[in-house]
Amino acid sequence: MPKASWRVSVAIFAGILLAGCGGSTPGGQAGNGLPANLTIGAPLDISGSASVASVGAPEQEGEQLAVDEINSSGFLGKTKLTLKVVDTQASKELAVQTLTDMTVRDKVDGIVGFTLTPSFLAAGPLAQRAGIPVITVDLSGTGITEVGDYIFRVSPALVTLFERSDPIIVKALKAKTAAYIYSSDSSNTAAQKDFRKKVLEGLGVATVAEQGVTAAQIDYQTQLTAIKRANPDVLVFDVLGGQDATLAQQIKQAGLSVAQMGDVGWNSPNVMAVSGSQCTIFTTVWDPSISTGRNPHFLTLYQQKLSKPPTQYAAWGYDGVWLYATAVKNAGSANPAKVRDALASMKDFQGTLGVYGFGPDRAPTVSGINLQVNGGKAVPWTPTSTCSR
Amino acid sequence: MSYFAQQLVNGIALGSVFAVLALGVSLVWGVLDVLNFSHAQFMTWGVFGTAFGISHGLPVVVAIVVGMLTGATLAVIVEEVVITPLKRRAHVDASSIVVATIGVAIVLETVIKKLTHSELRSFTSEGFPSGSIPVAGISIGLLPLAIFLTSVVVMVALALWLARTRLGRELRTVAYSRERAEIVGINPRTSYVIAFVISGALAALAGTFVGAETALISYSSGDGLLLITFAAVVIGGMGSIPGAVLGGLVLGIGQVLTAAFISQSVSDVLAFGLMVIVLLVRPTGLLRRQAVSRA
Repeated sequence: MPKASWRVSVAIFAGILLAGCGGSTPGGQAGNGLPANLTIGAPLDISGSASVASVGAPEQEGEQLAVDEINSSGFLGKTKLTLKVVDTQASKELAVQTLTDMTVRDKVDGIVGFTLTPSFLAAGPLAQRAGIPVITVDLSGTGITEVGDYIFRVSPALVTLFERSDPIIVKALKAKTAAYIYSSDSSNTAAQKDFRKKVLEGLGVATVAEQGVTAAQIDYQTQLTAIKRANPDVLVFDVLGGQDATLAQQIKQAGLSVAQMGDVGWNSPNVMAVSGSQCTIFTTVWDPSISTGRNPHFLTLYQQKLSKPPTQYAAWGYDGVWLYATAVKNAGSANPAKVRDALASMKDFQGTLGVYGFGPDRAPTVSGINLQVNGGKAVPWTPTSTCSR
Repeated sequence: MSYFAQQLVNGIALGSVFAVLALGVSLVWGVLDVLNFSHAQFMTWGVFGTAFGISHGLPVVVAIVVGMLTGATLAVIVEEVVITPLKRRAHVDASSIVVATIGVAIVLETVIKKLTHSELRSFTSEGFPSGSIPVAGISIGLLPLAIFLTSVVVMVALALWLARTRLGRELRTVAYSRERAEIVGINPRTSYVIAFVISGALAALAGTFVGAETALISYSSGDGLLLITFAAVVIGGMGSIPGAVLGGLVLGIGQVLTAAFISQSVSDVLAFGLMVIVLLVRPTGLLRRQAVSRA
């Protein structure tokens, strides 16, 4: 082979290699110690059943909104963020494949995403092994940050909220007996139900009924009839998004009138629009009423850019990207270990959940807010709140 | 006893929804011998049509008619653009048409998914019957009662139409034999279009019932119900109008009683277990001998 051809071949091969690499390599430096481009991997469930996609889609919108805002504002100087969204379709196998691609082939700089806990638990360890910081946006289950020290979460494990709030709520309701309705085909919601049951039983609240529902159902009268027969003082919900509204709708049909303790899914206009949701008390970490941190700005920006009010899922996605960008800025580097350290030491992050940071367990230092559905909207709840049906 | 009776009532209410869905599928399956996987999309698009009508201030009954027109129109488009052209080709077999309807279903679902931004949408229950009435110690939901009565009216009307009107009789003749129908001067195309119009309208009606029951609609509203509908048709007997209703009721009651007294997990697979048993023991379905179309 002539020398010139050999050099051209090497140059082409090197070019292909560079082009094939994702992450911060191709764009060079931005002059601020940071690369010109940082790629954030976003594995999200944005297709499949609507009950899952209706969570993943707003998460993507929230993340993209934050990326656009960070890039246009020059928050990271000349460094630009690129969001690489991959639809993992509520499939653990696809989530594992996606994380393999992101960590080996694309070599993304950080990962902000995940819609379902089981998908993360299958795929998350790949990112931990690759040493890539991960910020999960909407995982309500436990065992997330236990995967490793590169894993952070925006939405805390719901059981940590229930542990603090449920005793206060159940005492205010003067409940002596409880019934539980939960998604039996989700290990996550089933575990949440078990946890809440243990907490309430520890307070002397006897369990009189436990009814599981599945995603295949359109009618819950069977379970509601069994609960009505048990005649509980309070009905506790731990179901998947999309099932809350239907349950609220069918409670009245079942002739059931009982105090209700919801889950985070009740913080949705679709649920609160149903009259059966009236007076339900639930605990969450995001609400439009939060007036601290970046939340007021987020509410305005989201409405302005997307012409609709945001959901909690969009808020979590938005915070996830801002957390990553803030950590990069604080670290002065995109080096994964330095970004991880910056995330771990984050204290006064201005987010949509208010002003918070990460605790030793790499979960957000937020305590949750108690809300009650009243007149089709969520209002702050305290033990002295009143509500009539 | 009252607990059992209450669950039985719950089963009849659920079965009524399955019955209305099964009626439309049975008609097309019986007349055209087409297993139409896009039927669930007629349901989804239909309920969005109803929601559109309600959101624009139409009375609920008028909005339901808008939804049924949406479902019927979509069904005719699918029949004219996809199914009939495929059936004209001599080398195209039934499985090719099934595959084509799966493709149509995916396209229709993708379109409505884009149009609705993958969102779950509220379906207002205002204007629909709500609450319940106690009867002999049993709570009867007014919405399920309305659905049950509607499904009975639809079944009777459809059966009478098929038996006593010229178009109905022509439809049955085409179902029995397209060639013989043509010999006696019946245009099978007209019968095909009518079958799809009714099928699409009934799918939309059932979709509206489901929307009112669940308070939510989405691009995947009909997905989970399609296979249950097919099971109801197989159990009742393909092409049989009373069979479709019976199949729906058997499944509804069976699902509810299984969930109440065994487990929800068993209930979820009951439809398919029953379908297999019927296919093995009585492949023509429970009421095939009384079929109005092809028997």
